[in-house]
Amino acid sequence: MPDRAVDSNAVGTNDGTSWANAYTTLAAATAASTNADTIFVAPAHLEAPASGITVTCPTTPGLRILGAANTSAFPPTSLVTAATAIVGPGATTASMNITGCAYIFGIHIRNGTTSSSSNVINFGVALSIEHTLTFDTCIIQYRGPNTGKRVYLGPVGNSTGRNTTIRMENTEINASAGTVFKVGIGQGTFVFDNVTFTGAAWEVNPFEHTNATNPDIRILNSDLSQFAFTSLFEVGAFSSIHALIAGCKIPASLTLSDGAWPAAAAGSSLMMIDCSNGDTHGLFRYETPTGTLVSDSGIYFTEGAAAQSWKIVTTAACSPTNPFETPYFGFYNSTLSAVTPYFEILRNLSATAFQNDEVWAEILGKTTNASTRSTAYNDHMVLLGTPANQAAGAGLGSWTGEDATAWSGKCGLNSSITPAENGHISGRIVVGEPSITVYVDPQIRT
Amino acid sequence: MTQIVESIYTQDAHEQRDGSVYTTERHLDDLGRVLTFGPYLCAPGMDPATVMALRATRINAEFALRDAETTVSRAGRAPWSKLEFRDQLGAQVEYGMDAFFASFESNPGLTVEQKAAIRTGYRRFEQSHFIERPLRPEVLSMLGLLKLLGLITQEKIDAVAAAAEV
Repeated sequence: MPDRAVDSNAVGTNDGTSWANAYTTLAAATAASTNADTIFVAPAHLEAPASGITVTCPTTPGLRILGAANTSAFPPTSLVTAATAIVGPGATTASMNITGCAYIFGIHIRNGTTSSSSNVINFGVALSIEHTLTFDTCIIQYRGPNTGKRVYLGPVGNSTGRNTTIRMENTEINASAGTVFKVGIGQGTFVFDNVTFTGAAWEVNPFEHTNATNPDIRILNSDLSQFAFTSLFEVGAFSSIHALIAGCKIPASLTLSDGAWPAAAAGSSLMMIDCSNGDTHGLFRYETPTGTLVSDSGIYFTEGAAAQSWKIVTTAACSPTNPFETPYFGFYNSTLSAVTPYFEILRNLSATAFQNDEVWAEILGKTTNASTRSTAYNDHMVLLGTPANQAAGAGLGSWTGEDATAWSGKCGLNSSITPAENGHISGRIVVGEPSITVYVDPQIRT
Repeated sequence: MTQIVESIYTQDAHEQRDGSVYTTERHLDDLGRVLTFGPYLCAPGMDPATVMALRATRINAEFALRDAETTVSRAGRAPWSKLEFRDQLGAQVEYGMDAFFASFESNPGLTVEQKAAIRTGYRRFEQSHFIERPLRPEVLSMLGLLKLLGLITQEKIDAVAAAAEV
């Protein structure tokens, strides 16, 4: 597992064995490296050839490519605290490509120039291999104002590369002034953790890729406030998608999705947890092709722990056979006696009760002795049955913020269950009616 | 030039605890496409009409950039509608092509990569508004793929490409 040096200023033998004899390009160093090698890049390294750059790394476990703090010793004993070494083609039409598996720390990676014909940055787009690329404390910069060009992450297509994982950690992704920029998301898992998106040139829906199949996107602890007046995902551009945004700063006007979900996206979901532009905490949002769930602090069950309800608005695609399902949540139960779990629900602006083919609850309980297996229960109308009103709830006096005309109900089990083991009792609300609004107190009561 | 021709927004009748209001925008472009944004939380003091106008401005700017690039790339030639493009291919090619696209996913003679390329190419054709002239490389690439499959001859491809240059 030799260490290798990269420094564009080196004038020695260029075999990577010392700073004086460093490789002058990152690609030359990776070509000479094998799995688990470490490549140190000098802080003053500036690599900007006229042609494109393709950095080919081995597959798992790959290489470490680290930005050294100085060139006073080799191997270096400290790393940069911010990316200073620059790798990126200098030509307008050249692309920047990295493939394979690598942990990359403290490098500034960019595409060509500020020319209108600047080309793409590709990270792990080759279809034939599984890429695992981590960018830590890096700057990823797109500089050219070329419409339709972007940073592409991951391969598109159901191929070997579908298991690609690309992580951006403690990294800045910059769309320079004058650029038109998107992050193109392909196939695989994509994690943005403590990433700051900067620059003024983000297009609407910055995370998209036509025909990307089932990417899993997680944006955590990041600053998305630069995406003003846009949404994050043009859902119609994905065959399907799963995305989680948690603990992020977002612009005040941000929306998650734009456009109609494609039919193939039936299993897709977008979830946003505890994200806000200001000081409002604990907001939750969940979108699927059949509906949207948002936290509502204006109408809520007064005694509810969070003083907020889940406002569910279903789409025209929602139906009893393709319903909107909230995520499961639960509580730890250590009482092995009969309980009857239920949710309080509200219909606003109508006093008509929801029926059990429109809104129902699904409950999981550990009712099998000596087994971890849960049993599912629900109060959904039986097949070929006749719809019946859901039971009356605690009453409108127990809700806050609803209009004068409303209906208070509850969904839950019609008879008790008796847990046989300690563990979670979980539940969710299911809505099987298109284009309706349901308020749910997100708490399982017994 | 593609542009937003109508924008409206709707809001909840009730406020959130911090005074914000859930707001949903609906923008209609001149191609009849509806772009829906929301619901988002419109903060106290924030004018939803201003937010909507800024979003429309941003969308229009994106449209303008795309249109500008399209205009440059087609060198002043009016694009074909997709129907005009199909007319250029001729009925025999159309029949074969349509049958192929309807069943290629289960075609054992195609590799996974080929199916991915075909799937993407066909989806891009479906989602395009028109066919640029001269033909984009990706169109020629797809025609080349159809030639490999025996669905179109090189002579026909050359004729279509030449017609696109006129």
